[in-house]
Amino acid sequence: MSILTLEHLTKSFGAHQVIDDISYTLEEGRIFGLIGQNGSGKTTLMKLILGLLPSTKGKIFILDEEVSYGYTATNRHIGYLPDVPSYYPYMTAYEYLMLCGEITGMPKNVRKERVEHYLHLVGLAKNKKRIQQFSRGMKQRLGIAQALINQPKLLICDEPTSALDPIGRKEILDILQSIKHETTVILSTHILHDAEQICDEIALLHNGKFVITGNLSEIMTKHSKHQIQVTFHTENQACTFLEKLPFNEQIVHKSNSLIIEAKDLTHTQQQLFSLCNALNLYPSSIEVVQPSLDEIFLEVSR
Amino acid sequence: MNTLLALLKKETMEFNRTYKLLILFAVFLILAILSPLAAKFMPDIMAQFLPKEIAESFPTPSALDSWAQFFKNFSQIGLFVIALLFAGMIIHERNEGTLIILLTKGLH
Repeated sequence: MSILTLEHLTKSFGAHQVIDDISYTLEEGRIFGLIGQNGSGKTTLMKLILGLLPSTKGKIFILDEEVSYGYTATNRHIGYLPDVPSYYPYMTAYEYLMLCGEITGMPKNVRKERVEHYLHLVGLAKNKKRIQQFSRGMKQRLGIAQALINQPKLLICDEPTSALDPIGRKEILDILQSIKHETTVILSTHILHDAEQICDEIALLHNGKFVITGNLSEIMTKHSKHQIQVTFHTENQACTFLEKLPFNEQIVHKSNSLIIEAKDLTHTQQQLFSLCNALNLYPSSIEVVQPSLDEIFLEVSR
Repeated sequence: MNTLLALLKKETMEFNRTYKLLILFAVFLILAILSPLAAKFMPDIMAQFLPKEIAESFPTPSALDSWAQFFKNFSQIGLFVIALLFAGMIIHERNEGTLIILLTKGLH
């Protein structure tokens, strides 16, 4: 069943069109990465889904229920983590989650149980400090607990890892990975490495449209150029090898390594190996280079 | 109804922990101390710069005068302080962004 459906969604602020006629369907149980530069409209799209902004045109459905601006009954299915979550600094994490639970309308015993469960999940169970003393990472983790408290079917995280150090980022990504079987996750980010690590499906938002969508590995294969990197022990060896290369494909020479763009991967590999034998020159490594999401991203945004 | 209760609880906690309660209490305490004093010394103060006959025509201050004095201050300064303390309640929530999370939790 599809958890989220966008139908010809358009949003403009005055003359500036931020979201331009996007139609998309997201199935349940996936981690969906929304990727785009700063200011590309990721946050706007999320706010539209949450009914915090009115759309200019088009419709949004959450589990076949239409999202309406203002009266947002669909939000009972959603947990939201803003990019910079702000809390009441004078509360403790426990008190804050209890408040969130109460507003959701949970009975007291259920609330207590869930608050303890999620505090444990995000590793804040033993923390009795007030939120004003929390670090960014702790606030972000509390944000996830807060978003999950009503056991949503859809979790929307707006750049959950942007402002964190590598350890904090890993913690957040691990938590998201661990809840994957309970809830669908929409995750916006400009850190492509994070998307590569945990997303099943991505969409690249550029100029208000999804320019690339789909399964991550499919995207990788589709956009991959066959590149072979040959690394030698010394730069001299690389130069000798470069002179003798029989084909005129595009070659980039970087100190002691050569990056060769191959039209036919197997054929080029055969040629390389035979050339190695003929010259009696053996490189320290030969590898097929996969383009990173960064490169695809840069290519598309150009 | 439940949300109202939850928010009331939250506001009480905020009132308490951000020392607003203390400020309010202090203002009223000062008013409470000043009022009887003002009532007691008013005839003396007046006598300083009014002709003797007029000053003597003032009645001696009673407990009732001090209460009237307090009541007057209460309705003016006291209400003013309350208004100041509560004025930012909603706009503060909006500006700080704390409201967004509660809105997505079904508050409307």
